[in-house]
Amino acid sequence: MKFQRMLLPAALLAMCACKAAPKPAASATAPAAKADSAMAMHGLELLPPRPKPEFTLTDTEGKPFDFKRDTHGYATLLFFGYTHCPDVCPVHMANIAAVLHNLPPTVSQKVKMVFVTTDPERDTPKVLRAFLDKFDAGFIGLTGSPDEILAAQAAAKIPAATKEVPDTGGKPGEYFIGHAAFVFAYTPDGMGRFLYPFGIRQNDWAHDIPRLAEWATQGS
Amino acid sequence: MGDAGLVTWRMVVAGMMLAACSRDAGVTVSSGYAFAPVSGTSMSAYVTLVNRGRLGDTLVSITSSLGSAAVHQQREMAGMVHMEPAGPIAITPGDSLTLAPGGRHVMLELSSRTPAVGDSVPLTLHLARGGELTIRVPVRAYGDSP
Repeated sequence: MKFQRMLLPAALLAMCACKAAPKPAASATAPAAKADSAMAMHGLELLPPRPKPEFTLTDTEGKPFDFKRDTHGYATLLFFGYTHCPDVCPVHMANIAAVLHNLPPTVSQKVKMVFVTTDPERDTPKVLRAFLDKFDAGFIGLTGSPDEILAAQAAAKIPAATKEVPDTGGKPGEYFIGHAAFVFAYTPDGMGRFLYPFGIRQNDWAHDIPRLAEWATQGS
Repeated sequence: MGDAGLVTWRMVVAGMMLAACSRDAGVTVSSGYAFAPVSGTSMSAYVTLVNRGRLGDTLVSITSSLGSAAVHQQREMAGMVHMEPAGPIAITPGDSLTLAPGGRHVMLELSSRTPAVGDSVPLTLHLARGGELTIRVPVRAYGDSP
């Protein structure tokens, strides 16, 4: 059972450093003076913070969506996934939706969830919309040509998703999508500050989302 | 082909063993569930198997009367999640095998009706030594694992 390996782009190696970093909350070795708002977050802090990427894709209404401009001023969660995903993608979406639905609208209205498909072949705007609507009709679904989606991932400095055909044991025509397992979080000031790996739970989101939404007013 | 031959060979060997072996507790299912499909016609299911016996066993495959099924393995590497068919999985005595989100799952391609939250779905586990074991697992909504 050979696993189809691929070359790891430099951006992915950069991500290794992020993944290897301890959860801020669990970082007992951090100096006490660093006990600021970031240290209290449950997501993995991205150092240094990254400016929001610039890319334009197509939303599920068929209209252009300028990520930086159209999410300006909002806490923005960005995820690259696909609707045939067995659990990582729908579990992330279900957890985020459940937490947003439990927050006061004054807070949840400050958050935008953007799901970019990494499987445009199967995820038509209609398929993507039907999938996201099961979680929250307000979730933004984006698609584009394979090159446009690659460019968006490069702009976000997220390792590019790959189409993987199993060497053995697969069915004819079957393929899987290798994709980033984490959700990227941008605070309303337009900076990418946290990563939420798979395994993050609703109570982690419930803790962090209001803080992401109110980031600017925390005077961070 | 090779797997089928292996199963037969192991079953013959198992059959030749002392009667005590056939009373071996073997592999049992300790828990299981499936996620209701979000959209489309596929769903993921999960089981936890425990080998309470004194002999090793191998999960060869999982099937379902609801459609075609395959065990897939996801691996997370440097923040990327990749997937491939799982192949046979050995369960040593005293060990357990947990299928869980982000790791291994049963991918069910439904041939007819779409189960909803509250339903249950049948899964048949095919064990090299323990033979077939059919269970029903409850269907729940996507979200944190229990």
